Amino acid sequence: MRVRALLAVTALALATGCVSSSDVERLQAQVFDLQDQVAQLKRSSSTEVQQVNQKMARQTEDLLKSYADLTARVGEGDEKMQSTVGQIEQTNYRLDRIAQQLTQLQSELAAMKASRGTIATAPVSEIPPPAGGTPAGGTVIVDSEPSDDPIEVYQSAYRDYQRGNYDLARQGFDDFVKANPQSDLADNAMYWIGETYFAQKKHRDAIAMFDRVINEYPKSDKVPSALLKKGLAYIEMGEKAQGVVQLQYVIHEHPGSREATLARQRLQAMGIETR
Amino acid sequence: MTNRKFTRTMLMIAAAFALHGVAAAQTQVGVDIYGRSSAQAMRIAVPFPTLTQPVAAAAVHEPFFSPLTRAIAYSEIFGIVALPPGKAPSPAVAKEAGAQLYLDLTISLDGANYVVEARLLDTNSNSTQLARRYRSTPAALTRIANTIANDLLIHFTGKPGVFLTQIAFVSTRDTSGQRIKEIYVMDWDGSNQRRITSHKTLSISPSWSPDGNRIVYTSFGRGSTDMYTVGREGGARKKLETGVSLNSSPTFSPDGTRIAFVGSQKGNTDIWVIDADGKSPRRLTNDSSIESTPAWSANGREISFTSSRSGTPQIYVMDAEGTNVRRISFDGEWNDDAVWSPDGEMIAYTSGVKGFYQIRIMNVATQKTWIIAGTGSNEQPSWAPDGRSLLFQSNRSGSWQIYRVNPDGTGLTQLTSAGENTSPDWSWRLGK
Repeated sequence: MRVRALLAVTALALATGCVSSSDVERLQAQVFDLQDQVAQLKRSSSTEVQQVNQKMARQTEDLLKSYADLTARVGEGDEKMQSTVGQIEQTNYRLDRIAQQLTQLQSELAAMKASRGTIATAPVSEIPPPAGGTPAGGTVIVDSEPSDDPIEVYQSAYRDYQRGNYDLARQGFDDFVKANPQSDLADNAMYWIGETYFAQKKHRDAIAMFDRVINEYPKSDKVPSALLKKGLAYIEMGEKAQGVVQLQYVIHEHPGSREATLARQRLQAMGIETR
Repeated sequence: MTNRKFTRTMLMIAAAFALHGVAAAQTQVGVDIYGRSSAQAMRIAVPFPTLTQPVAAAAVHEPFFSPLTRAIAYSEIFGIVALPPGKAPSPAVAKEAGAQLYLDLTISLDGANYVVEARLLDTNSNSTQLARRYRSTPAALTRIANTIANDLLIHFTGKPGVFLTQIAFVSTRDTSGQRIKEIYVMDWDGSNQRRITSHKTLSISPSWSPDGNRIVYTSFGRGSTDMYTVGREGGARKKLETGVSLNSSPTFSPDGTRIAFVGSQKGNTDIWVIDADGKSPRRLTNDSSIESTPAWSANGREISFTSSRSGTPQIYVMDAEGTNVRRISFDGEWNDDAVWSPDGEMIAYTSGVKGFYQIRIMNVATQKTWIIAGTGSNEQPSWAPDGRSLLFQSNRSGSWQIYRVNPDGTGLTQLTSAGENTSPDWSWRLGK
């Protein structure tokens, strides 16, 4: 029994050995086949990947190129816009100069007409004696006559504003507006009057003046500034609610303006959401 | 020049004469368009001081007499009269030489301190117009000279001169070969130059606080640029936390409460303002273009800045709140570095003319401009606190140096020479 069993085992072992060797060969063949397939797959996939990669690279390149084109075009647009802005500024500057000359010519014309009228109707009046005597202990050097050249009045008022002589500046701008309400500088003069009050922290008066700019010169380029300044003046005075409404109005009325951005920033700083 | 301004100034000066009862009251001192006195200055004789033993002439000449005469000459209220050599100086000799005033000086030692006695005499009446006694350590002798010059000006015009003011600037002098710049300070006439920072990187664009106690500037750190304030004699510095990048060209408002600067957020460079204590930064401009070099108007109500929004750098002005923006520079292809004169009437700036950079001055009210022509590149003007002169940097000598010039182009004086020196900023009026 033991011998039979041993034989059987041996036979089995032999048999197994036989199976094994042929199987291994088959298996090996299969493995080679598989390896071949994998290699093929690898080859084909890598060529595919390469193709895809190349395609992507091409597309990316195209994209980049069109992006560059776009950027260049935007840049060109920017440059064009900047040079347009520059031209507009130059033109505005020239227009301002012409407007100033016009105002001057108008006033000269008015003065000529007036003097002709005077000559025709009345004889030349005597020069009136100076009012008041000489102050004790000093020579008086007479200041030059105040100019009636409107541009000089305007410039002199602005000079006083720069020097911080706000009362004098206000007087000058007020004289200018009264004498030249139709001048292209009248809205500016009125805005500066508002500014003299703003500088002196007379916010109520400043608001009244900015209101006049807005109402009397609705097409003025100073309107958005006047609206914004109104809002800021209210906030300075502690009338926060009124100020907030005013700033929101700036954003609503002049949405794309620099002043709208400033109003939005101010509201945000106060913790108020804006659209 | 407007007649009005001229006569106004005449009145003021006439009043000053009347007040002090000077016999030279007839001398008319006008102020021309550039804010400088014109024509007849008061003729003053300033002989070398009488010294009491053991004071040595050598110890007094450079620290005292030179700065004193420099200051008196700068004022242009006075014209210094040379006394004839060989004669002992006296009011009578001075009168003969054409002087109306005679400054009599004596210097003695009291322990370790110098005592300077100054007496201003009218050569006609021999009467004393002004008599003062000053006392100082030897190190402060120059300060006495500048104080005397200041007192003379206050006596005649009611206003101090610039002689106790200082100039901040940027220099490479202590860092041979390295790319390091530090902030320096010097006296009004270029003397006493000293370093006040030691970042050992690039520290640039100094700007004085109006009280003259602090300087704000920009310094490059590791990967960032920040603004700092430092005392006028250096020492501990304080960083301003703005929350934005760039932080360049800082400048104090005339009331000292705010600092305008150039900040960058999301790659957009704009003008910002921050409280002087570093709180509540806020943006004033909002343009895709580059905005730079802000400057406050004299009254603090406006801010000028440079913008490339029209394609080339040009100068614009806005209200201190950021609104009412308008371009003011139209002459020159390229304009930058605007600064307002102390009286608010003029703006000086760097102007590109046919490829050269020159200092241009604009009358703010009329917008008329003129150029202070010079060789080389001339940039970054800064006004004297009395508006009588300007500082600027120029490479005309082959290296960058700081110069002083009058607005009409006269009185050119070089103030620095060691290393490269740039970005001058003249302090505000100090003292009385």
